[in-house]
Amino acid sequence: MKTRFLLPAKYKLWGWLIFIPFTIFGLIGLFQNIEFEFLSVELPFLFETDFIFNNSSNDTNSGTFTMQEENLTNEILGVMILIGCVLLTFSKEKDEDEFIAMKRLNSLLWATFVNSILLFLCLILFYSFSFLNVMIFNLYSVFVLFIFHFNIGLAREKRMVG
Amino acid sequence: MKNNLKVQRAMKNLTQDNLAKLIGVSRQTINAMESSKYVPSTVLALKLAKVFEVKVEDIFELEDE
Repeated sequence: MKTRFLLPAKYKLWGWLIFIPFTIFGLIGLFQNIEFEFLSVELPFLFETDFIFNNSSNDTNSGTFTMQEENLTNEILGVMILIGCVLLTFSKEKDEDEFIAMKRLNSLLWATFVNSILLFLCLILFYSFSFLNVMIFNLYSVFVLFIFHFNIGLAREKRMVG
Repeated sequence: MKNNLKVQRAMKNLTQDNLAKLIGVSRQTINAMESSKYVPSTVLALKLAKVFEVKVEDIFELEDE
């Protein structure tokens, strides 16, 4: 059985190599602001950064770019964690076959289901700005749940055949 | 559904690893089929029958509910 939309198996190793260090950095960055000075650049902004809280000045700025300084540490961390997640989730196993394809789909189903339950709980338990953290975690939680469930399941099968 | 893969495999004197390589699947798949945890696709069932030189019905059998 051919499984479409999967990357070659070698990308899984790259996935781990990218995912683990950048996730550790990202988690530290959530609690204490990490900003590398050399990643500060001037970028054209379509809106001022505080446009959400300042509606009156919005009219004058809309449609025109203003140059503002932005530190790209957060952006790079976010992108790299996403790349790591995608490589880990969408890479084939070395011995990919129909049984592993079934396990893959089962894990995806499980991850989506558990993620929904977690999101449901977070929606009723977190309010206001603390919900921003929930949203940040929720960006990656489906991936992380899938990677966890799928790999634990595979390891268990492998142990059974010795 | 039950199967007699283990018996067929023993008759042909194949290990799980040998069989896996012959039909191009992982060892986990052979193991999962033998322990009735996984029902193979028609393609895989036909491949198994070819290796054992029997009919699919000689390997797999429906169970009464």
